[in-house]
Amino acid sequence: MTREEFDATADALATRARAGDADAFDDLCRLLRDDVWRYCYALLRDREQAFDAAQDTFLRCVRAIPKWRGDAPVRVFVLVLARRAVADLIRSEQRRRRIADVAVDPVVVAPQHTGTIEVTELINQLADDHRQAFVLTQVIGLPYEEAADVAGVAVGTIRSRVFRARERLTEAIAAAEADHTPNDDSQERT
Amino acid sequence: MTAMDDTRLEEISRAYRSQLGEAPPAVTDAAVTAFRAQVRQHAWTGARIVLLLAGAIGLLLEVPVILGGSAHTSQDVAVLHTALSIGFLIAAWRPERYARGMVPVALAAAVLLVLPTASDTRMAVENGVAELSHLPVLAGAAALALGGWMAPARRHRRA
Repeated sequence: MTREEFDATADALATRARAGDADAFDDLCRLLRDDVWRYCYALLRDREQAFDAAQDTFLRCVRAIPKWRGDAPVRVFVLVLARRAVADLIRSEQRRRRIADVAVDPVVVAPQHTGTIEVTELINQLADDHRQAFVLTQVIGLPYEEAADVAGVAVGTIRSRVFRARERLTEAIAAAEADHTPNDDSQERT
Repeated sequence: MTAMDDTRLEEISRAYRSQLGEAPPAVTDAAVTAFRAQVRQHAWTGARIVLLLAGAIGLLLEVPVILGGSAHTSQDVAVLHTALSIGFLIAAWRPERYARGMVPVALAAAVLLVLPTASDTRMAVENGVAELSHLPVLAGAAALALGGWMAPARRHRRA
């Protein structure tokens, strides 16, 4: 499915959901859940927190969907809700830590050893803004204009962030490949 | 160092999607459940107003009869009307929970009240205001039946 077809399907479902069609809302959530999940994960780098933020995003969607007017794809509308849900989650987490007065170590995602470079780890090492821009445009596939709407910044800012992210990734991949090569050789020998 | 080319970039994006995996399906469960509950609640909006009015008017008409020391038969009828009115108010408060259970009782009461009136219209006209006191029961029964018909039933999440 192309991006245009995907957005057309999602918008049609959102239109029906706005009129009170619960099955359409269910289908819309299923259609968008991977994008929302990936975006929340890109911002949080923690699977449990990403789950909480994505769940909160769809709950916000229940009340917010009547406000969607169709002037932007519903995917953008929902991803903006996701950004707010993540921001609220981070704020509440910071408050909770202040109250507990205990430094909580972030949950480290265990690398999935697939024998290839751990792209997730490399992308996680990007700066927050660069990672957000990269995931919105390259992983979720939004055009720069829509990614800028989701991130709440100018289009030029998104462009430069994506450019920087690509530069950093190029460096990181080159370094990772250099590290991996001797190991791969030794595995082949054994 | 120059940035990667588009083909390499697409490979990286695909690998990221693959390593991250799909969203856990349960991530949308709470929202879909909440949406269905909201739809049911909206379907009841008009019916709830009618139920509220029917219950309140029924109480205003019948409670004085119960407290006023009328004949035993009148008091018994007033008690039944009052019970129905309280049922309408409770159904207006939580329709998704209480309305469906009240439908058979309210419809039976409405039909049994209308039948004698329909069979003897001359007597009904002579009784006048007394017959009008049945209106809250008829309105409440109609609101329950229509609200239940318009509201989608609870259903399990599709696989």
